[in-house]
Amino acid sequence: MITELFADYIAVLIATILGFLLVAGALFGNRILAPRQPTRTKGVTYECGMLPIGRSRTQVHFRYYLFAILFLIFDIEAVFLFPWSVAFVKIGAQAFWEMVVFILILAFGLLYAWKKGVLSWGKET
Amino acid sequence: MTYEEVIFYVIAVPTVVGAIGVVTARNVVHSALFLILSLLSVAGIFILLSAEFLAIVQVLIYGGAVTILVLFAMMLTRVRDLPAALDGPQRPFAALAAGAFMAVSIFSMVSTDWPGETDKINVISIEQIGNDLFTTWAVPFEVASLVLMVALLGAIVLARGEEGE
Amino acid sequence: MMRLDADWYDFRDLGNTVGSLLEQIRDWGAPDWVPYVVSGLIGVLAILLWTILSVLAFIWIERRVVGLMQNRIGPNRVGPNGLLQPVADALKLLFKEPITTRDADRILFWLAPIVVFVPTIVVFAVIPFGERMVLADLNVGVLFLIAVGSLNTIAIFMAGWSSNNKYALIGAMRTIAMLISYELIQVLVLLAAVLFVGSMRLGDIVAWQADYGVWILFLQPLGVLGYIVAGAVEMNRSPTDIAEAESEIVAGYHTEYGGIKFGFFYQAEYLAGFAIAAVIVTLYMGGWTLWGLEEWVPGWLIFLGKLYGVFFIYIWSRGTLPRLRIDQLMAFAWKFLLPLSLVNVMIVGGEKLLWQEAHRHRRRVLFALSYNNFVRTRRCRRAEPDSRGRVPDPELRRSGRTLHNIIGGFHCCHAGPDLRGCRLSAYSVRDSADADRRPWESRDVLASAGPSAGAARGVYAGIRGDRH
Repeated sequence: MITELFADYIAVLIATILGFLLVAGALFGNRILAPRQPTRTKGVTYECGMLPIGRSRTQVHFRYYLFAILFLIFDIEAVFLFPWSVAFVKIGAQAFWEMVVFILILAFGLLYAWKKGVLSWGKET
Repeated sequence: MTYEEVIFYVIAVPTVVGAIGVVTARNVVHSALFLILSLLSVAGIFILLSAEFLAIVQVLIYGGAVTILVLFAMMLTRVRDLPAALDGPQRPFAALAAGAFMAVSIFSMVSTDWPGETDKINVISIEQIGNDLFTTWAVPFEVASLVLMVALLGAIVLARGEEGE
Repeated sequence: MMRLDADWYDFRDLGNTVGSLLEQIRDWGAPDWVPYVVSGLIGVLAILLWTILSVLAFIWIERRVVGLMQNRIGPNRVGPNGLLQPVADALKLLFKEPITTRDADRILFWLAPIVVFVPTIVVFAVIPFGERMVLADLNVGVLFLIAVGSLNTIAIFMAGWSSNNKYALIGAMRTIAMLISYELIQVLVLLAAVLFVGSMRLGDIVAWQADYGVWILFLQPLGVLGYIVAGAVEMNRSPTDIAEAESEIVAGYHTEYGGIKFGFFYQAEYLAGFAIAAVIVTLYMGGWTLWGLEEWVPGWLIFLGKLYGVFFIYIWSRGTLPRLRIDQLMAFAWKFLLPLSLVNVMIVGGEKLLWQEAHRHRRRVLFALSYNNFVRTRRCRRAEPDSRGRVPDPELRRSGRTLHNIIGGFHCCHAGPDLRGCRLSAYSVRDSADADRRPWESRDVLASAGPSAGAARGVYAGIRGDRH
């Protein structure tokens, strides 16, 4: 027996498979149809027409990591907000204030990050 | 074999392949991408169990946020091109820890009394999750926000220290 | 519900046709999973066909329209009025030699176009095109949209990393940082829309708007503005196409991609655009309903009309606004939009409580709340000062000629430390009195795009450096 819920996701699964097949088919067709004459220079990594200098997989700046952490934390917050949004009316004002406290606590974290300059991409001026 | 089982195996294979790939890949970035495969397949298993909300959260938090964090953390390090860096003198300890964890998981799996053999799946709606979260579990919920904020502060303090060096 | 038992030839809702077909199949005594699979296949194939045709059409429309906006012609050679240009381009891409650089990670390089494309198709599975024209009306529809939409970061990382190219890696990192920041905004503004309806099912949201005869757009002007901005980022188009800042990092994460693989990145961007427009239409503009007109006109035509209208706004903004720098965009997300959307969630929550209390006067309270929110949004726009604490130039706002006033919010002044006290203005060559005054000759700076890119666009809209 297929549950109603799972039936919906069958369509999602089919969309995934067909999308995959479409792209894979086009890539395969490209392989058959297109000419292939690899030369040495074609295989060189693009770097403004010059030969590439140094290794490509450079280290990146720390701030990317910080933004990822900020994103993770606020994403989790948002996930908590969704069950609240569909349920809080029945519970009433109590749930509303619970959420206000929740948001304010995290807003304090955001404020701290702001004051510490984490939210600035470049150098502080 | 019922088609639930067919679908289960279709989803379980990438989960296991991903999990094995994480530990066997010689390249850290490949490991991370295998991890994503594994985590997303677990979302499929959640859907099979009618745990819709959990599945979406799995995709959103693990598939979208945690993996980005992991990938960004890797981009910070210098070792990612060197397969040798994956090996080290700590290998026996790692094996011990992993083995112990596996033993505990297997033990708990075997010893738990699973309510199997039921035809009915209890679908828990998102309203119900919200209801329970904001009445019965209101205090742990507020504590969760504190934990999140402490994590945020900790990350910032650590990062600032790192940058100062 | 007159339409639910309509005949199969009732074209007002194509779902009827599929519905009768499924009943046929059931009558033949097929196993119970067959109808689901058949309806899924029909729906997905229809969506694929529609997306491919729409993308081809809109490539042409966009190039012609942006050409007109920039005082040039645009493609007009292949076919009548250049109509076949996108087809020719697609064929060309298909016949181009696939080049993979020597040091690239071949498997990931090949996988990235697939991973970027598949989620953009999956998103359309939950969009209601008409009353019965939705493949999967999930209970968690809104969250599903966001979750699937967030998967493109992985594909972008794969593309950028596997290319083994510095520009590609930096482009990927920047794009991901930007995407995750604006994803947060998306989640929070969509949450505010969900709050009023009390359901995450897209069908319920459309029905709610039809019942009360009001679009959520009017209740949540702030939310829709935030979503439009976040959507522009998500679809990676100008003015927020950091990934393709050609003056800085060539083509960003797809620098090394060519041929059909590049084609799929390109198409995925378009499809993301359609998906964003579809979300705006469904959540904020009543979906396939139009105050009773859907009884007479096919709902899917109304839906598509709205969708193309919203997408046109993005084309318009591409022809009008200059590219913003990454630091400006990040600061705008974290220092302006995020606090604003958090406050928005709290205020809308309070309003919902009030509205729930007012049993009898629901509709009237709705109007009051809508008025309140509009005033609040206007105040936000007005209160948004430059970094020296001054409000934006009132004359510029009153002129009303640029999308700047409509989209509201692409103010650079929050962000750039180099651009303190500056503001973003945008005017087309034809309108401008000082048309031949090149921005780079004066103290004007073009955001991130170099002078040549600006000139090529013919629109120089710059960040004017005059500290008024």
